[in-house]
Amino acid sequence: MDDNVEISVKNLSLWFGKFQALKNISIAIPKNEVTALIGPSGCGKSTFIKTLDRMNDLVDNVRITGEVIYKGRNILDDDTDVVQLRKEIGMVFQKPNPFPKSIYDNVAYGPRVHGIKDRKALNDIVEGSLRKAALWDEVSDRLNESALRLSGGQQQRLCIARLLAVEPNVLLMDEPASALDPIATSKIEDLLYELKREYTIIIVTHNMQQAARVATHTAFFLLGELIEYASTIDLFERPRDKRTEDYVTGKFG
Amino acid sequence: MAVRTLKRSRIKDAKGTTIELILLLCAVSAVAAIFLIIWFIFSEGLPFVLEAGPQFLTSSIWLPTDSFSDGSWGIFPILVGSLIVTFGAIGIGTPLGVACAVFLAEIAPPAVRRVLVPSINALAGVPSVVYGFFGLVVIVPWIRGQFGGFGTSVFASWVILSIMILPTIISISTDSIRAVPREYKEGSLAMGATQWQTIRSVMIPAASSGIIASVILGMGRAIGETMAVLMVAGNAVSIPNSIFAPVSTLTAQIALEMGYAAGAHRQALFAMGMVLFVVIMILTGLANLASRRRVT
Amino acid sequence: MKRLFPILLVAVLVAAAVFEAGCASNSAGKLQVAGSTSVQPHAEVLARAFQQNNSGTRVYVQGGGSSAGIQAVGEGTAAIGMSSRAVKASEIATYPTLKPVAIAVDGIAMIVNPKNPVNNLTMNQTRDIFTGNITNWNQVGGSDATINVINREQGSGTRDGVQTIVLKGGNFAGGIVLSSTGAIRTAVSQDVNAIGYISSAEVDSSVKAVNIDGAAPTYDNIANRSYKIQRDFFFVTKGDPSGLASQFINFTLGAGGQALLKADGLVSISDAQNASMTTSATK
Repeated sequence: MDDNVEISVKNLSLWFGKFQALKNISIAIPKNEVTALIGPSGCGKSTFIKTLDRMNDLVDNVRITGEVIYKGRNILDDDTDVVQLRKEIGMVFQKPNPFPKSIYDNVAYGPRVHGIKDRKALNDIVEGSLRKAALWDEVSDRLNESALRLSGGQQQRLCIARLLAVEPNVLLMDEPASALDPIATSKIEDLLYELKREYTIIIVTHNMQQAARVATHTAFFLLGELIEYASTIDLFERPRDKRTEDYVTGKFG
Repeated sequence: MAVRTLKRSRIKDAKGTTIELILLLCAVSAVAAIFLIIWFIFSEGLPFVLEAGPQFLTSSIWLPTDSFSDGSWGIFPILVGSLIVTFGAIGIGTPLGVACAVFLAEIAPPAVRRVLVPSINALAGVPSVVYGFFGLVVIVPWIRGQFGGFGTSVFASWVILSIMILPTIISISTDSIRAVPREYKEGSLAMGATQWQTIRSVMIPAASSGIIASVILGMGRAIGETMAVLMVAGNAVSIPNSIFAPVSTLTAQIALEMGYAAGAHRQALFAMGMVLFVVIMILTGLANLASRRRVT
Repeated sequence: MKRLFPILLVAVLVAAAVFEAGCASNSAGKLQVAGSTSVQPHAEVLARAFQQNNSGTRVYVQGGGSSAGIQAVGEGTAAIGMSSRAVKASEIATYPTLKPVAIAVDGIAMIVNPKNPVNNLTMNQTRDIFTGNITNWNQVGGSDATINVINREQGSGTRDGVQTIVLKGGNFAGGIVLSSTGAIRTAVSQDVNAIGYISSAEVDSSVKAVNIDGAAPTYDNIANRSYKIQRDFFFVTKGDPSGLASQFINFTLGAGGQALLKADGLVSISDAQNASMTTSATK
């Protein structure tokens, strides 16, 4: 397998009961790049990335076929260590979801559940993670305040910091900026640009400008199918499929 | 057009005012009933406490049917008994109840939940005398067989009362755990926390105000419970020297003796009721304070 | 729905007032009897028979304890008070015209579990058991086991009787407290090491009554006073009984009433020797 591929998905199909939400998806996600998933609402983008860290396990009545190869193993196998998998492939949600704890405890949560108790080590991780998430300068003097008092944009960056604290390889982001104002959104986008040097990022967005700004590769989903997958420039400027062209030129969506 | 709307809204206002007035009356009558009870208990009990002095609370000798003399009106062992019985029941009932609530809210498959939830709610409707009877014919002989003594004891009261407060703790805690936003759970699991870590470190803390409220309500039921305790506690007016020794509580002692009480004895029982009232106010106040501090 | 509440409240208060008034008046063939819970079941038997003999009359029998019964008579809220003990000097001081009349004699049986080998206790041993000086059955010829003492609650006439007769006014120590004859009988029947006390009329095969100073609590032994733990049951009136109260007391002391009490397990006052002063005074 290509060294530059982080996750390789082969013939993935997914059903919620009788409804087929994903249809025979095959895609290779490149390492240390930002890959954007675009498409109209309900096209299966979110369902797709939830499959990559097995978050669909929480939903009743789901059936999945195909393979998701990560580090040479099919993570859909029953014997996958889901806890370890989610530590390596973390997720940021559409709506910022900090825990009702202090800022410090939010970031320290992951390291703590993974067994780090030393105060000094925790302090370092918290500071480092908040710095990486470009939040340190705004909160360094109020780490013991409730995270719920932060603004929406700060909360989302806190959620990213919280994820970075467990040192993942892959960040899955499900429309991370859709609930934020333009200034907070641009801060998140700047952050993604910084983070891709260290992490493989997959971002779901319905905002094509955002995809064009942050992603090196973009995949277009429609009604559970992967219509087209190419470098972002190619996909927006030279779409091969008529449906992609209609979508990126705003004819529907 | 505009005039018509105005007219209609005025009629509506008159109706609304009437309803508001009736609701106010109901609220006032409920509050009045409470104050009437407080006034009644204090007017009967307070003069006695003032006459008996601090010995009423500190003395250990309770001989109310003897003539009025110093020290024979001491409710100290009964007060201590009430506290021991209540806190013991809370101590056993809270972990059990919260564990059940976690199971029902997070782990139980829907089919199991459909059976368990109505059963637990039914448990709340069982009359306390039935719990007392169950304690008397099952728990008490078992304790007597295992540990000797009377069987009617502190321990028997703990067992019965903790069962009695379980439905309260379970149903309110379950509701508050289920009310924790789904995002918290997802956020925790998505970081590689196990289900148990998620429950312990995110779900329970997020639901803590509801859980504390359930424990306060359970405590109120435990300290106020009379009939079941009367049947299994042994009602001996002495500070128990082991958990298998008999104990008396304020409520049980009042119920036991009120039928016969006359004169000063009757006043003493009202004074006990007053003490019980004050104890409940203090405990509820402290618990509320604790929960408020938790939330911030 | 909620608007009904004040109306209901008023209705309840009015009903209570009417009931209260009804309790106080003994006219129109109504008789209020109140007091000792030990006497109560026997008085109810008498009341039923009395009502059958005198159609149109109603006899209401209430519990509440001897003290409450005597107080009720003193205050005039009951025509007859039931008492399982003699009227106290303090009560006479408050209500100088109280007149007690003994209606029957009741033994207080010391009951143990049928499996308990102890059959005899002396009066002194019994006292020491209830005051906490004897705590093991082997001190009174039984097996090596702690004695589980079961008491009635304070204010109970039976407890009062044991305290007066057995403890000579001393105080009970230790033990648990149960609030009824039935509860004590059940507890003793379940516990090999228990001892309790109940009216001898209430002893059944689930428990064993021990002999006190060699005498069993039988009818004859209570009547001839050789079984020492016994008390007279009294009807108390304010001044000499009159009207329906007088009729009811005469019925009780007559052959028919005494036969009913005898059938109910009590010792007829006419069979008892050395009937107490109060009894002879009224005769």
